[in-house]
Amino acid sequence: MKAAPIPKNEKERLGSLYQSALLDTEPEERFDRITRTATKLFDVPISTLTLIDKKREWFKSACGIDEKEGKRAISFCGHALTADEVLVIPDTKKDARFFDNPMVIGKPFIRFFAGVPILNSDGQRIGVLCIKDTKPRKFSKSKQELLISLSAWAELEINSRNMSLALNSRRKLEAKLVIQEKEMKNARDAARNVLEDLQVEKEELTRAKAKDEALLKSIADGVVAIDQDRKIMLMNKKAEEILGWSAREMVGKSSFEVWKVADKNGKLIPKKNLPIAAAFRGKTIIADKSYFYIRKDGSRFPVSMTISPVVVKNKIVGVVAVFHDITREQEIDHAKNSFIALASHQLRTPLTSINWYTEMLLDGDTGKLTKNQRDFLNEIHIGSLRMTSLVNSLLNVSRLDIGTFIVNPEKINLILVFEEMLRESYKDIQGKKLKITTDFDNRIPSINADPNLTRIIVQNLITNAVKYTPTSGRIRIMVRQKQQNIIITVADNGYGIPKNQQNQVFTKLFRADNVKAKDTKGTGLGLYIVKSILDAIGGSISFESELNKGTTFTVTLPLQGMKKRLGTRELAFMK
Amino acid sequence: MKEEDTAMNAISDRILIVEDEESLRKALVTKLSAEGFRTLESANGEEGLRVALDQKPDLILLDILMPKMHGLEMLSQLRHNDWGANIPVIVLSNLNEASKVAEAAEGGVFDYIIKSDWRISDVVDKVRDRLKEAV
Repeated sequence: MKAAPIPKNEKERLGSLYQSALLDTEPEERFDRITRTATKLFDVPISTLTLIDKKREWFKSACGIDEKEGKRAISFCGHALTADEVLVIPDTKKDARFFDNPMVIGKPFIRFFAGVPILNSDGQRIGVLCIKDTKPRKFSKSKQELLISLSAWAELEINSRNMSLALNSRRKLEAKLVIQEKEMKNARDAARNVLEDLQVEKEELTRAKAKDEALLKSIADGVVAIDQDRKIMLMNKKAEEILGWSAREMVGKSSFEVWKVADKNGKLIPKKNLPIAAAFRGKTIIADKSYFYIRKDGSRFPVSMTISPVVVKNKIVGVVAVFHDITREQEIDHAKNSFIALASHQLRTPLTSINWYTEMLLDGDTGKLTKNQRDFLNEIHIGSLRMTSLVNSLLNVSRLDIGTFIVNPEKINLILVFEEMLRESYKDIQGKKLKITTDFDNRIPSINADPNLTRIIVQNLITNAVKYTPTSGRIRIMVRQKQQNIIITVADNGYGIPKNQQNQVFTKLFRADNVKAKDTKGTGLGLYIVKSILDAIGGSISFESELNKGTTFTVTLPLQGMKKRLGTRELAFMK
Repeated sequence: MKEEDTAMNAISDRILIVEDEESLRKALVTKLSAEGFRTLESANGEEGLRVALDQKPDLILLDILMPKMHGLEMLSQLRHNDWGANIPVIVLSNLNEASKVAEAAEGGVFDYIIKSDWRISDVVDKVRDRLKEAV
């Protein structure tokens, strides 16, 4: 027996066979029609449309047999595959190739075979259309041609199937293409949207930048930024105007060259003392009094500046200074001070007159007075003295507000100041039979303080305690050192301050309701003055109070004392 | 008034009052006279300087804010004079111009009194004290 031969282009052949997608599909009427026709036409029992797979023959259509497939090696169709036009075996038993074929000597006992190769649309032989009989037959040329026609018909059907498959797959492809096109369109739209968003963002950024630039331009203060190498990074228009240099000239240059800072005598401040040195160490400096800038043309003007470090990711990368020319402000200050000086003089002169003449009358310089005359003159004198005190307080307040008061520190023994102020209030203390206890720590060092300001503070604490404690009351004064500060405590058991008014105690002209009725003489300025002084010198004041139980004031003075303050005016201290 | 004070006053003490406010000047003159002092008056710094150098008083009460020449200017000029360099001066003012005070420290030694804070009798006491020191 000869096995069915494998054609040379078996690989392509198989490829074509698989592409036809016919293998292992359901039987179809249009193919069954052909095999049926073949059996009728040739009066044979069996006809199959066989597809030759790698190792098997598989029947797409089989008429007359039940099998669906068989082994390729022993198949007749396998042989017919390579036939030129048709393979006819009139008697299998007489054919050397087949006489001992299992299908000949066993079921189904085939004695006659005729088969025509079926070509796929690409020309590959994918199968065979065949007829079989169990007895030997003659098969004439015209019958062979008929079989060939039938195979053509089978090919057409396969093709049309191919075509409809192709059409389907083409439709599927087309559908896929449509989807793909849609996806592309979506992608394009998305890309366009992203582009638009980017564009919008770009415009926003440009707008923001323009805004920032406009802001920087229109900031009414000069702004100069300096990098770590002390070079000028940027400056705004106002800075250009103020300093007289253009940004072009200044940017990139060393700040020491072009940004000259001097004291009021025109002497340049040494580099290490400049505020920017401190800013580079991380401090923010507000210098609003003692500095002058020198313009490009050499002229000098007073300046108020704030210098702060620029920090990026915890590193100091530069320093920015904001400043403005305060020539006008200083002029206004001078004008204010002149006004106050004049006002003080003008107010005090008539008061002096009233005081002195009243005193001379009371001293008997014009002759003996009646009791009534004495009493009335006393009233005038008291009123006049109160007025004088008020004028002094008002002057102090004005000077404190302007900030031009002088601090002239000297070595001061605080305890002596207390003793002096207690002596001054002696009359009132005696008159009210007040019990004063003092607890002064003698180890307290003398502090550097302005004697005038210190007296004002101490006097205020004592006179308040005396004023606002009723007859036979008690005042306890304590002076202690605590670390770097001196703590002064003045505690009385007097009228106290109502809780709902305690937050106003340090405001100007404030007098609590409970004492206004008892004593109309206070000005309401004392504590405001004291607090302002303490704020300015680095000290502090606080209190605790309960209505009708008493008040305790605590004042903290830094041991390092008051810094010398140039100012222009001393505060008024009244005996 | 004690007899010894009167005696001392009668011998030597002439006080020059340089003050532009008439009311205050009059008060000082009245009080000082009542206390036994002789007094001289000037209403401005220019006149005050002239009278001082001319009459050579024993003490000068000097206001600051005055027309024509103010007190510190007068004081400065006074101190340039040999006699004027040593005369006791009490500045009576209603300004507490400490900066001017510092400036006037160049005007030699002097007391600085704020008129509205002082009783007139205390001013007289101060005059007496300064005269005692000068002796």
